[in-house]
Amino acid sequence: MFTSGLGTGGLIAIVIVVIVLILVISIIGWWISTKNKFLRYQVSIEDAASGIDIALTKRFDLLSKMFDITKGYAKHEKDTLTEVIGMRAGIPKGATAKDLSAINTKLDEAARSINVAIERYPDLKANTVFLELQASSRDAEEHLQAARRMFNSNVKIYNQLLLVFPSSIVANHYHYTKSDFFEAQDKKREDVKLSF
Amino acid sequence: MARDLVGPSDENVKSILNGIDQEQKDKLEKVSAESKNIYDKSKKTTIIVGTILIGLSFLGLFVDTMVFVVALVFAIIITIAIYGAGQGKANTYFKKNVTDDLVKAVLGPKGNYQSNQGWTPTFISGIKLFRMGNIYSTKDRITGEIDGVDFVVADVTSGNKTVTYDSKGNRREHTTYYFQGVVAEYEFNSKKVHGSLEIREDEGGAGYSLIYGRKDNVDFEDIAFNKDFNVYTKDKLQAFYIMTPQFIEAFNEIKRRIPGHLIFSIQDGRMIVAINGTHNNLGYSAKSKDANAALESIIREILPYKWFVDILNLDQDFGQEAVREAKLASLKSKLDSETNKNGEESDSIINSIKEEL
Repeated sequence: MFTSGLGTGGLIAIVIVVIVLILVISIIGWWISTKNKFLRYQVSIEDAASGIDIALTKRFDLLSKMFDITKGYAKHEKDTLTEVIGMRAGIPKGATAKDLSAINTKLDEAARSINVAIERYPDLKANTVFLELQASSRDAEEHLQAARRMFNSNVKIYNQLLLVFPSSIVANHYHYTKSDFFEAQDKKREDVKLSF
Repeated sequence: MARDLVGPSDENVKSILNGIDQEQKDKLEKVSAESKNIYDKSKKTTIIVGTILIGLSFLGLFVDTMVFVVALVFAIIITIAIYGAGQGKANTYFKKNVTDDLVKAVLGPKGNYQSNQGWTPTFISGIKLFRMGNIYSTKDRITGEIDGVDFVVADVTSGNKTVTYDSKGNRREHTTYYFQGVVAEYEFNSKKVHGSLEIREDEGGAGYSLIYGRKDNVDFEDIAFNKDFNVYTKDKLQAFYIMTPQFIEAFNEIKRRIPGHLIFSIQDGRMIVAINGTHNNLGYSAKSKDANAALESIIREILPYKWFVDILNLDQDFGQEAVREAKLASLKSKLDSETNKNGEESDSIINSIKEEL
């Protein structure tokens, strides 16, 4: 018989080897899957960041066009608006989340100045090109908000994974570092119409 | 999450009731009272006929116990059928004379109700929100326009009946219902959606999307929402674009207010709302204490469809209306200068364009 040939000691040794093998394979499997998880989130964060880039560029273009129309009207807001035009070079390549947040804050200021111009010069409300740009700008802002929320959602999960044991072992081994959130002033949340 | 707030508030129901003019109200109350009358009469007939039939069935005891049992069963079946027919008659009378008026009172003049109409099977299988089998029925179609948003709603039942035979050759029927509820279609706001976005109330692993399976589920910042709903889409960025924090909050509120299992789908510029486990009665209910209670009960059934437009911002146009108005104003001024008239002619042209739009 198999057992009689090996003896009890041999059998125990085989069982231990099998258990150790299973453990090693499990650890390697877990290590690879955790590393892949980190890589997947890094890709997702990059995707979301490029979404922010696209939305910011679109918003920048639209605000620039709106500025061109309001130039004749908005002399008082000239400084802020000129600053936007100064950013014509667009968003620098490899901009970090912090850089993107700073650009977005500038664009928010420009949008506010344009809104002031609209309030002061009612003629603008009859300008169809301007109104179309305004509607597109609102949509671009919505896209930007979406990209920002998706980016932050990915960063949140990624950063949690970095800190939580045992995935932190893999993160430390590959020197993965925390990602920055895209910070922006949240628009005041409109009230949900609860009554019906 | 506890569903402690179900249905529309008493205040809103009363405000609709108060908005109905006295003449119409008198008519509604008259019809409601007449429906109650028809129901009461049929109840009396049921009691009399039932008593006679059941009494007669006892005569069977003089012949044979089996004859008595068979006669009693027949007597009970006939009694139930008479009761059902009476209730059906009252219901049909009520629906024919009241429901359409009430739909108009809640939804405005464009509101319309047809008791024997519904959704075609082609439409339901096309939206792919629940399975279709060999059983299908639909009724109680309401159409209307709320704050410029077109919508249609109807009751739908979908299921599958299978017949099997056991080893002794006995026939066994088994029916599985996939969906018993209401399906509503709204025009979606001016946000463009590529493909589709599905928001399904979580069924503890039992429910899944027919389009996406259990994959492509997106999580958002709201923990309560993530726990209660699954959002399926191929485009994650688009999901965040549509599901704004305000929109997410609206779904949490809908879950608290609306009984039944909720499924929402945004596809081809429309939002489909399917609520499983609920249906519109929209007719006379014997449970209603008086005419006013019957009217209130129907208003309560119709109001949620109006509320969906408000809470989900389905009428939001993101400045498109202002652009249209400005374009028309500019067109009018051009027409005025070219025709050299006082503007009446161009007004009529502009109005016809507006109607076309």
